[in-house]
Amino acid sequence: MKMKRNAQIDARVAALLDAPLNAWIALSDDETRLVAHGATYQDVVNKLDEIGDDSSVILKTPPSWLPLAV
Amino acid sequence: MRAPYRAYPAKDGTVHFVPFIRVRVGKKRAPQITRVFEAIVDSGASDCIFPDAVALAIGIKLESGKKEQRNGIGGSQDVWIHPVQLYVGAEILEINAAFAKSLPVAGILGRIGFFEHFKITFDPSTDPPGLELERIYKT
Repeated sequence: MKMKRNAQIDARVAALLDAPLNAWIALSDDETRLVAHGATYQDVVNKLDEIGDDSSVILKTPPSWLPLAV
Repeated sequence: MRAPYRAYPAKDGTVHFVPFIRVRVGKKRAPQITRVFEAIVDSGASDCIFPDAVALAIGIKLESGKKEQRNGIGGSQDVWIHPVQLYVGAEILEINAAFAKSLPVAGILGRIGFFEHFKITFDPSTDPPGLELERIYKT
């Protein structure tokens, strides 16, 4: 299924590609910027606390960008 | 509640759209609650599974829960069951969640604990595709 890609989607994908793999990361609320990353969930929360960010969304990146089958 | 699928990069430069939604998990009868994170909506999963980091974040000692096993595409693994509150939009669900030491995503929302509480429509007709969640209450 081919989907249209808009600037926000492209920015999210670029942010994810910039992020370390197999890590915890935080994207800005609009999901266009990589705000923090770390080896653990708590690392990311600590970084968000340090910068006073309470709106970012946390994700776990996979070991590689293969299609997901969980 | 409607949520667009989230874009994930693929190795060949294309993009996959995946039904991730934003949730939070809280400890039952306690103030600890996670930040907002993305969890995948997965009808193939028997229940809701989160990594041990989520348990740790809300003050749950992983191995103090009931130990069970779950089969996945990579084989079976141990999980520990704990009662938690799952925050989905404005809804707060009291569920028993499984916590695992290894998970490739921050959360899996499965049939028990998630699908049993919503009528869920996976809608590929929009661009990007999305899913619609309608809370249901069983009598």
